[in-house]
Amino acid sequence: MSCFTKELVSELASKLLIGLSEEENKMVLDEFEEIERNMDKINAIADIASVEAMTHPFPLEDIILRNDDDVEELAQEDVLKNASHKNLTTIIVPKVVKE
Amino acid sequence: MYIPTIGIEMHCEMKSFSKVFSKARNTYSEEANIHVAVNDIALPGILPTLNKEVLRKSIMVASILNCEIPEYFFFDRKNYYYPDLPKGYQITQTHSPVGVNGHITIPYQDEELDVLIHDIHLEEDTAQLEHIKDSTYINYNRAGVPLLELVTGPCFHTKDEVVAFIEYIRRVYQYADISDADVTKGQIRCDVNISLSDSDNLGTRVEVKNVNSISNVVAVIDYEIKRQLDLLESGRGEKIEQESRRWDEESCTTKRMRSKEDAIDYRYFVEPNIPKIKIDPQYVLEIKKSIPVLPLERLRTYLNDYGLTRVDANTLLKEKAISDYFNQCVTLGIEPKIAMNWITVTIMGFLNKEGKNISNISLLPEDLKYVIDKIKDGSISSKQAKEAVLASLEQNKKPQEFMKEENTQISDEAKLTEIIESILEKNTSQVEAYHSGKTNLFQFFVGQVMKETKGLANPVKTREILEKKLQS
Repeated sequence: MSCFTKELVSELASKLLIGLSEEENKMVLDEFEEIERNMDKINAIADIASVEAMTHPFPLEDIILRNDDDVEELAQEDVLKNASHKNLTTIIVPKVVKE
Repeated sequence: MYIPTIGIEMHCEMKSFSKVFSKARNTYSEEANIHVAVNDIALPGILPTLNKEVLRKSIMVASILNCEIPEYFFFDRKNYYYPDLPKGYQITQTHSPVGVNGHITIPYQDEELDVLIHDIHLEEDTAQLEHIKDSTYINYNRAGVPLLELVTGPCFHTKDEVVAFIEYIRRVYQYADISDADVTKGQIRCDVNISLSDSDNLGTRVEVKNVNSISNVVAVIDYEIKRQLDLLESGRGEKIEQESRRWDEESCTTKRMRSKEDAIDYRYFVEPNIPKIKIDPQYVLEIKKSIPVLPLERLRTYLNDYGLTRVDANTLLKEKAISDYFNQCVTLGIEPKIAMNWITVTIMGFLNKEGKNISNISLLPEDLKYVIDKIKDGSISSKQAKEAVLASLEQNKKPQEFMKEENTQISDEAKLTEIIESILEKNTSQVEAYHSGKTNLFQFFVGQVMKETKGLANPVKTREILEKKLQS
């Protein structure tokens, strides 16, 4: 029995601030069922509890980090380009806090 | 009797040339949106890359706080939707913070206090929002600035302990060059967790978020203790609710933001765009070795080895550069109390008046040693030394330039004897009067010597020689 229900999917979608149609909700549920089937296969492997959980798909360890003085910035006009409301330097949106 | 228990989450903007995951500059600017890179405003195409220097500094802080440092370093996404974070998530650390289970000893009043550190984690700051009339103005200069969040255990019981902790950590950040920790620029922000209990168990915790100054932290603690106490002692059986509140500066009260039931589900998961990094223990060891001597250790030395008062020691410790200057003076052989007097009175007096920094003055510790040695061997008087040091500070030149031979004190016995004998010969009637009982004329002869030498005669030697000559 799947732990995912139509209601749970709607709740999660609402938290993500996206609205799902009936069709999309069903698509997500079908996908979750598939994921759960795969999880069941993994859980069926013996001694799975002793295997350390992975955080990343690739076992990379020697990562080259960025130097502090490596700088590349956007021009101010490019930062503001996509904004529908702005003044000379700042992006303006409808007020996001209540009094 | 209810006892308050307080825990602090202290956010501090770090000092670096570029931001933590993007290539934009990390610098304060009056003009909005000029230090912004592609990922700061969530434009597609560029992945985040971790700044090496920020990683080093965060490991240094974890080491200072005696934390356990993980073998692997990786990040998490904290998902929420708000215009200060156009990506829709903040890159932070929840599963594997840079340091956990630490502790630090801080100076507290005349004693020391141990503070438990739950964890310290590295994250990116958000954009700055300004709410004016019906609009919100967004400045992305701050988005992506490296931020350290230090979470203490619930181990404070008074506001004084909390203030001592925040002030000390600020000083540590400044000493280790982690951050300017400038409260006036909003570089320090705190969340304050407060609960009240009349038993051994902790009471229900109320979190007051985003408190932006130390004086407001004090005001929040005072207000919340009173508010919670009023509820508990109202006799109406009221209970404290677990909730998040905010400090309202206008009304000087805390106001409810959300209850536990309304808590946001941030849906944390591992940030897939930044690979995990293995932290070489040798690298951690090298960082530990590079930690400068921190204020508490310096304070102990100043009090116990140098015999300074706590007030004087704290004056020297206010700035690392001043404490370093004092330490160099002592290393050169200047007696600690003498060095402390010169630094706190003459040098700091000048620096405070002129708004200057000790690292920009020509008077180096070795110059101060030279001046003090000259007082000791009698070449100059204390007054002349002070004048030379002040002139050196004011004109940004070496004090030696103001201690030319024609201006130095006359201590040579033969030379002083010659001057004194000449004065006594010219004033025979005063000498006779002195011998017949007018001993207060002694001061007249001293004055004549000073007049003759333009005030450069060593006063102690002058008196010695005069006494001898007048008795013979």
